[in-house]
Amino acid sequence: MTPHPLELRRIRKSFSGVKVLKDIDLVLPDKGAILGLVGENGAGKSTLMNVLGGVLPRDSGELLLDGLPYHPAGPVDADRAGIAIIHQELNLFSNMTIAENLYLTGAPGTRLHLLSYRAMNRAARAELARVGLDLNPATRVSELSMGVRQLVEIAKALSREARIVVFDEPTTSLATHEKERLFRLIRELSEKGVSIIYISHALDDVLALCHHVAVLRDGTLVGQSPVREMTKERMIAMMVGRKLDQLFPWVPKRPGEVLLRVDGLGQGSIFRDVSLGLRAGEIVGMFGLMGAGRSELLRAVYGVDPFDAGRVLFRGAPVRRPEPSWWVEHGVAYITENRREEGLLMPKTVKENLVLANLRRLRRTLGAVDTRREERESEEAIGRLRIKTYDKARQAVRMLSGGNQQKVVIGKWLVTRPTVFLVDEPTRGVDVGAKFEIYSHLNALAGEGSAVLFVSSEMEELMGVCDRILVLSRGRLAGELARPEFDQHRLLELAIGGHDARSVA
Amino acid sequence: MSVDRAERTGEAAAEPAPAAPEQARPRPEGPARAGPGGSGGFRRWFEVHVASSVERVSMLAFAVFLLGSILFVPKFANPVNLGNMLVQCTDLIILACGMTFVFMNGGIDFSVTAVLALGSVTGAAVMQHGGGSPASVAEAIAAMLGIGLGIGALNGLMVTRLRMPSFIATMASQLIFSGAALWWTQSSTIGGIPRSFLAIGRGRVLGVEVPILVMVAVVAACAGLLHRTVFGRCVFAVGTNHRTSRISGIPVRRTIFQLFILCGGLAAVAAIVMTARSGAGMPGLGKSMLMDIVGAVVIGGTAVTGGKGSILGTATGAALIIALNNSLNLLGIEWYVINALKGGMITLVALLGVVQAKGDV
Repeated sequence: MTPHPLELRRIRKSFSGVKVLKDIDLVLPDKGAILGLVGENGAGKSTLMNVLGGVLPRDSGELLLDGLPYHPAGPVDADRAGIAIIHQELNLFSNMTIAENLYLTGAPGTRLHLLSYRAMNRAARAELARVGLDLNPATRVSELSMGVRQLVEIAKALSREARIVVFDEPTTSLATHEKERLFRLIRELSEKGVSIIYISHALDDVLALCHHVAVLRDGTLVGQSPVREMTKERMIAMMVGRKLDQLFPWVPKRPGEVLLRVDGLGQGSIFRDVSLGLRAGEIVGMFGLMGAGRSELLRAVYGVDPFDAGRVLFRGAPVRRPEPSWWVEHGVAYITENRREEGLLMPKTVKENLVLANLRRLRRTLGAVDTRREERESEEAIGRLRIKTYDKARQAVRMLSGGNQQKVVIGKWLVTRPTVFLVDEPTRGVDVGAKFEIYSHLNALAGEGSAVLFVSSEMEELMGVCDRILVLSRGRLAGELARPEFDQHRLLELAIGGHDARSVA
Repeated sequence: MSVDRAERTGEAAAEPAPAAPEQARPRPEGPARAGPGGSGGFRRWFEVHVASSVERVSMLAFAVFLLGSILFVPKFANPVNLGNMLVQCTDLIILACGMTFVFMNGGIDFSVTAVLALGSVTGAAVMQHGGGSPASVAEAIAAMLGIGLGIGALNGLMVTRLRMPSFIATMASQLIFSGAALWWTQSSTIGGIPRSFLAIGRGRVLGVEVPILVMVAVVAACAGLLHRTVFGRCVFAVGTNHRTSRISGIPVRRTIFQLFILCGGLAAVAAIVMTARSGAGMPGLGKSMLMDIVGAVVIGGTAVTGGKGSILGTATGAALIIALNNSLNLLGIEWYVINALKGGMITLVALLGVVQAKGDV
């Protein structure tokens, strides 16, 4: 019997007494198999891949490649063994060219340590062709889109004769056509005998692409089966260990007065003439394709970036120069789409991050911090959002999983008890269980009378959670759909197509 | 960062690519440092409690050095010598406390020596002009504080409104204002300082010398401000990440502005104490102190990049530097060798900071 291309036996890994991987038995059954690996954030997927890739040593257990023991002492060993990992945040140097990135560790045609750019570029062209790219290898990576960069990363992997390629959340920054191109490539690789491990939160994609699916939960492999025996519901149930009756909680609401209004707002050529109104007690979605200007709109409203036309009104009164500190004072919260650089203080602790937006309310005499209230509020936020941290006063948020980090950002704003919540992609990089929790919290906020503006690229979640959806297309409001009218095709049509620039309130 | 923005502005997506090598590094879900138990218990305890904090290493080093000096350096333990050191500490600590605040935002303030110089000569001139009357003393103190706060405000404006790097802005202030002091006095000192003012430098209250009381008050006030007030929390946040702080509603520009005012103001306090002790307005006051001030702050554990720091650490760093100066001097080592040693120590501390930062990842 031919040995499996990859086999993991009873892999264990702990960090300071915390068991992160518990007796994992995982198998890539045949050459060319595509194995989907799913699990909540914090389930251990990244750790497992780090063990495979030689980045982390395992505590016990065996790794077998084609039946032979595999003990990587570092990533170099993994590379030599033919294992390539394509991370979510790509490992490319944006200031170097494609060819330079491909041949970081050694280029063809090098003599006496002197590089031959001609030989390098020529070889690079061939590698790029393998992934279907027809580009000048002397192009700087900084000029490439995320989708193309990912293909370059794959070309790099292939040039190192990878036999197993691991994709870690490859589609979060891809446009639809790029995703399809990626899938085509993965299927080609599979046919050529390259085995694939595909990690993703996009369960539909996993079902569509993979031959087998393995589910991790809390460091344990809950199950592995061929894809035809898997359904989305089953995957979710295995991932969270309980049945989610609904993926998206929604309750009918009665919206009240308009809390936040935007009138003819414009910013250069990025967005123009955008008008909308947010009423108390409603969840308004904003859909659009990449580049539509949604995030830029939110940033302009919040005062992070300037706008050059139109105005913003809060509770009927125009806001002269919107500034984040003003909004925070008046109970308007903004969750950015970039939590690492704009939502969190990464090296600081969970507790420090949770109280960040509420500092002014923690002031006692002489400006001293009300430490008791600080403790109480941060503890409350952790409980309400079920943030997983071993010590909120000691653990830096950069150690938390993506989903937990996002919860910290949300928690930070929840303690300020906002009446208006502007959220930009709140569930990006967040696992299914946490997503549901986040939707529930948004619902609860709306139930208490807050207004929520929910910007997202995921039609499904918008249709599931929102009361109405605005569509932004190339900087203009293309239309609005009320809940009874929700339809994926219509949304996409509006997002791609023309501008039906009615103002929506 | 949304892809559309990167494509549109043609920005090199510095965020995904260089961040990536760090992503490849293990991101342990648990603490990076060792937990309880296991072999090498002392080593682990050391790692967790001592090496993890530059500040604590400095305290340890200071204790060791002090002990060593007391035991092995002749005349070190002499009460007169110890008294001298304590007095020298007061100047350095007051200045270093102010500098700590600026460092918390990853900046630096070169103009503190200019505040010393200009403050000193201005105060002396005011008192001399007023014939040494109590009113003139009060005016002089007000003027000196005004100079410190004014130069601090100017620095703050340059950094926050003109967006100049603090390095450049404060260097400009330093050149302008110490130049002004030198030009105005033609490099000569100004005398005529009344007894009442000198008391600040040489008097005693309840048996303790006034400068020491001032130093203790400054340290207590600064520590309280940085570690226990909302303002202090803002300082830590702003020093860590401007963008996150701003979006979370923290007044970033105002906070930075206030940091420079604090630094200038405390430099003025130091000017008052130092002028009172020296007995004359000196345009060269504290001219060579900058290295010791920066050294004290860095050795005390305040990260040069901002976001991390401690007043107590700074005080320890200052004490260590003074002890070093004093003890090695008593041993007959030349000043340039002492400087080299100080430089070496600062380098070691920087290395320790790097090692510690790696462990945090």
